[in-house]
Amino acid sequence: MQIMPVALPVQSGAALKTAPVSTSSESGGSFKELFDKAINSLNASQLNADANVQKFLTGEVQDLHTVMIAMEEARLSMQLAVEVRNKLVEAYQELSRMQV
Amino acid sequence: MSLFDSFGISASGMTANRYWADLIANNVANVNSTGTPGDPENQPYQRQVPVFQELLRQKLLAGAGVKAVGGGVRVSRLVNDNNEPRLVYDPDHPHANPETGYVAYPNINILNEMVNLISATRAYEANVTTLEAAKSMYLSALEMGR
Repeated sequence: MQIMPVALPVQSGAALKTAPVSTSSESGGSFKELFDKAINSLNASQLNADANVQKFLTGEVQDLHTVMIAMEEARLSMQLAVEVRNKLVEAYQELSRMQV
Repeated sequence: MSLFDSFGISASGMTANRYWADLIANNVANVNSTGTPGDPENQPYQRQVPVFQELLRQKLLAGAGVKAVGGGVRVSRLVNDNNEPRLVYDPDHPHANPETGYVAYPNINILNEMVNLISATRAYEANVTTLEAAKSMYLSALEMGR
């Protein structure tokens, strides 16, 4: 999931070159694109977990831990998405309570 | 950079160690798979040992100035243990050498296999622990927003 295009501090030497390119938020509709990307990768991780469970049940994947890790990834991605949504709703409510 | 890289690394460690446990189980199961001494057509079972190798992330290798970051582990190949088979005198055995009466048993020491099995189990558990640590780091990062 790449919701925040923030470079790792450890990789600062090489990653600094790419960081300004990915944070070009001035171009129109970039928030929508970012949001779309985040939602899509969230959906992909959920679908991946589903596919893994199905493969395990049909005997295609032999490793239980692969399935568990895919499910855990999906759960954590979902938790992050819920957290972001909570923040958005919070911001909206803050605005709607504002005295005019 | 992906948030779940450490998950994949731990998963590769678990896969490799589970595979090792599979090999140990096969070695233990074949402890009585006999052969005829001196007959290349009818060899006893040879115990198998895995060779672990570091997995490197190819993408990072290509970038200039970026050090290669480990991407986990894999079993690169299997090695057959070429030790001499254990010879047991048993002329009535179907695999006995018609001249000497000896039967070749695979050179498998159950104690060795059990110790290796403990190693494999503990290594698997260690990978689970690193995974748990990565997960709790992620969760505590999520806690920041509350």
